[in-house]
Amino acid sequence: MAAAAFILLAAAWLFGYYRSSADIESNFEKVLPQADQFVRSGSIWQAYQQQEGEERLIAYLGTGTAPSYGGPLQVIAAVDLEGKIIGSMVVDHRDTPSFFHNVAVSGFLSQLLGKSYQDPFQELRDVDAVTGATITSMAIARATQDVAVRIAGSELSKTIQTKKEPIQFGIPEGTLILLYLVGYIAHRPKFPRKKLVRWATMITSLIVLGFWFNRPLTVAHFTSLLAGYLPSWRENLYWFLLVGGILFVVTVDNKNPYCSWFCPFGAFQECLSVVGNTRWQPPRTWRFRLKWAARFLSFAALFFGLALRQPAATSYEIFGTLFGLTGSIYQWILLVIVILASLVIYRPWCTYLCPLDPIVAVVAASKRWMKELWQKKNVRE
Amino acid sequence: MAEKKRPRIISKIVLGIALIGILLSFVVLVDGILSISEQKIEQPYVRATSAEESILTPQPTSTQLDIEVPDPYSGGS
Repeated sequence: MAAAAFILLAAAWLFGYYRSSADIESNFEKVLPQADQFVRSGSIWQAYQQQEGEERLIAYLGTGTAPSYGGPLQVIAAVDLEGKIIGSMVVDHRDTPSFFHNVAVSGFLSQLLGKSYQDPFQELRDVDAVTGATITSMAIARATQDVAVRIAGSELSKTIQTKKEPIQFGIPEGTLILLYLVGYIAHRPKFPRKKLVRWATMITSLIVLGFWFNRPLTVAHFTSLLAGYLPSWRENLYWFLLVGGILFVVTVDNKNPYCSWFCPFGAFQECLSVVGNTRWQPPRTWRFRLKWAARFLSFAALFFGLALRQPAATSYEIFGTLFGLTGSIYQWILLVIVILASLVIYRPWCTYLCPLDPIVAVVAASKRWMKELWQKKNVRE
Repeated sequence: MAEKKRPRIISKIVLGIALIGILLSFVVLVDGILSISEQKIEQPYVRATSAEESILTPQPTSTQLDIEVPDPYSGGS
């Protein structure tokens, strides 16, 4: 069954890889309606307008890509002859639809109009990101800047100074490193006051990684990793610390400190379990079947996420619904059920629904399998 | 007798909750997939309406904006 699952995931990966990409040229008219003709020249399009009986070059268009939350985000941008942005459109993205919708209706794109290829396009300097969707906002800005810089360099013969993006290290990154260190040290069997330290890490994670920054681990992180959608490490160091840290600890130490020690949604359920009486479990005969149902859901999220190359859209978790107060009607209903269930069942989401536990289990099992193979090989030699 | 039956009933209720949770998770997953296949993916755009004037006499601060955001969540699916 494991082999069949891997083959299906590989097939989904290939299907997603060869899927058609966004239609670019049909959207030029929306970005630059005054142009009559678009002439392609390499990766740039020249926009012409009929003026006094002759075609005059009025602007350039190009496509730009930048890594966003769920994968690459692609824009079309129009740049005038001075190197200023006069139009921008997001043509493709892989972010959570409800979060992206917040950016789309916020008017964020209007901030980019009039910006020059020389502008820094940096948050808090000349761009104000949409609260709760910072990564998406900055990906749009970066992709648009990419077009402006390329056009300025290749078509307008401007001198381009390449700048290295500053490494984003703030409260979430610092907190995550601290939680890893505390979790790694304190989960050892003889550590004193283990219970107290565990509650401290859970509450810290609930407040900082949950309600404050809304950065829990989701199945979309793993789908993005498998799809090869790695964000820029300088701007998304947190992503690498979170995913890399968990994979490292699980493979090296065989322990999964995230789920039990600092998953913000797990901590939220555990707080509710203190209020209620959570000793109830489903009938023994059903526990195995329920475990397989969670595995199936996890597999389906990975499979469709890879096949459709939309990691965030197939991430069925309700973390964003609780911490970001956004989600579909079904996610809200599910959240209410999980909150009520947390009063009578110990961590119902983690036990019966979370897609991460099966993924972490597969990573740990793969490590054990490799280790056994290695040992067998050494014995033979 | 009633005391013995109570845990059984509660464990069945717990099973019901877990099954509803699984079913709803599946619905959320399918809803996410449909949002892709139904082309609900938003393509917001912005453009300077007076682009021609801004090219000839660049005045970005006075450029009127025409922000158009198609809302796929309004109306039918």
